[in-house]
Amino acid sequence: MPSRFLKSTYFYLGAIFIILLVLGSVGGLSFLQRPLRFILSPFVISINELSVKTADGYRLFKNQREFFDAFQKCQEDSQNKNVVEAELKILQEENVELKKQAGFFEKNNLARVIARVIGKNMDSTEKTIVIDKGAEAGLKENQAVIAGGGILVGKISSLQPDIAMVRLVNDNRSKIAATVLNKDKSLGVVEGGYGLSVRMSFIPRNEAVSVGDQIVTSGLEKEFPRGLLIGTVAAVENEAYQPFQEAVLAPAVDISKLILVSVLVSF
Amino acid sequence: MKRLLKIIFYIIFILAVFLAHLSFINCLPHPFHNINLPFLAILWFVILTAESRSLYLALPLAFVLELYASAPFGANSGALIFSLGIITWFLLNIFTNRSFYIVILSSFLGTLLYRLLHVAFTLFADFFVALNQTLFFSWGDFMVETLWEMLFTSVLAAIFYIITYLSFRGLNPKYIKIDKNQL
Repeated sequence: MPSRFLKSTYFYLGAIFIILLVLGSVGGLSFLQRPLRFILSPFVISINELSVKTADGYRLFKNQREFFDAFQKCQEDSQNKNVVEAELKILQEENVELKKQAGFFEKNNLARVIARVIGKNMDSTEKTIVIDKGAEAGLKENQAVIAGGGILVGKISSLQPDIAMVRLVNDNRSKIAATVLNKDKSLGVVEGGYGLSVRMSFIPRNEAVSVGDQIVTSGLEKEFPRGLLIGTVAAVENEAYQPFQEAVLAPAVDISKLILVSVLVSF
Repeated sequence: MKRLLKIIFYIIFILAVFLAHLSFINCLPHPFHNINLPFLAILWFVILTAESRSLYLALPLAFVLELYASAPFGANSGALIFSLGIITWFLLNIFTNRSFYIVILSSFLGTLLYRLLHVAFTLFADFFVALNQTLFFSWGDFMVETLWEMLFTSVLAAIFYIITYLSFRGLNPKYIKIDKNQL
């Protein structure tokens, strides 16, 4: 028979929890949350930075051959970079001229807010990161978050006044309309999985998708501009009995090593 | 003075569990980061003290976890408190011998219960409160990750049990207290 002690514990625990839930939902606990975050942030940031350093160690330990092959490939890519940059510059100049001639007004200003990654989600089953800018910095839910010069890493899923949660592209609840940069400009949906996988689904079977094709945002979602790089095709699954084909993606950036990101506040 | 020291101990305990949980999630590779340390810590506290009042520790711990959680406010806390409450009731009223197998079973089932409640609260908040009609969820992936979490949490519970048994065997053979209220 449950003791009297246990029943009163349950009663008071439930009552306090409901009061905290109501207060927390309406933002009544922010007077406690902000000072606590201020106190805990140095520890959270330190642990996040430690995790970036240890990630390389695991990869080296797990597969040294793969690690050194990747390093060698980086060195070769770096050597080819100057050649590619020169070609790109020429193409950019030609593009500007063509658009001028067509009377096309190009809006190329992406207003962005730079934020620092201060930690990951407390729940290991969700792939979200915490950034140090929130609603006070002008951020809104569902805004795109990018790394580098234009690599999509996720979108803002929830906001506090001082921080924001970013749902990464490899989270199981992430769905992004995307385009394959192939001959057919195939459309599909990039979805995350519970592990490390990112897949692009609903690609028409009759359109050719090859390993190495780049995947970018299609611009069909109002929050994401067109052309943000998501990743490259690592494998293609095209079964005869399936109505659509799927592609497994290699993300364009190592999501586990993000330190600084930018939030696109307008485009 | 004794009360003050107890309060300081509880604060340090909660912060230590929070930082340890954060370290596991950030630094351990997949799938080893799937350890539900907050649940296990409070459960272990309940097992060792055999007092239902130990459940109160779940409240401040849950509040600290909510600071850096992306789930709707209350999903993590509710899952933690409800799952601990249910498992505590079983431990104090049904599985009362607190043997090795019962401790493992409690952490195994408690983790599953926590995860199911977490999903239920999150989907409820998303659908009925935030009115976000897009419910993206993959049950297959969810079960795989939950099974990993149940496995690693139970393994850690077993390690705690063995360490505690080896450490305190000399002091008291029945090292896990029997709840005096049950006698």
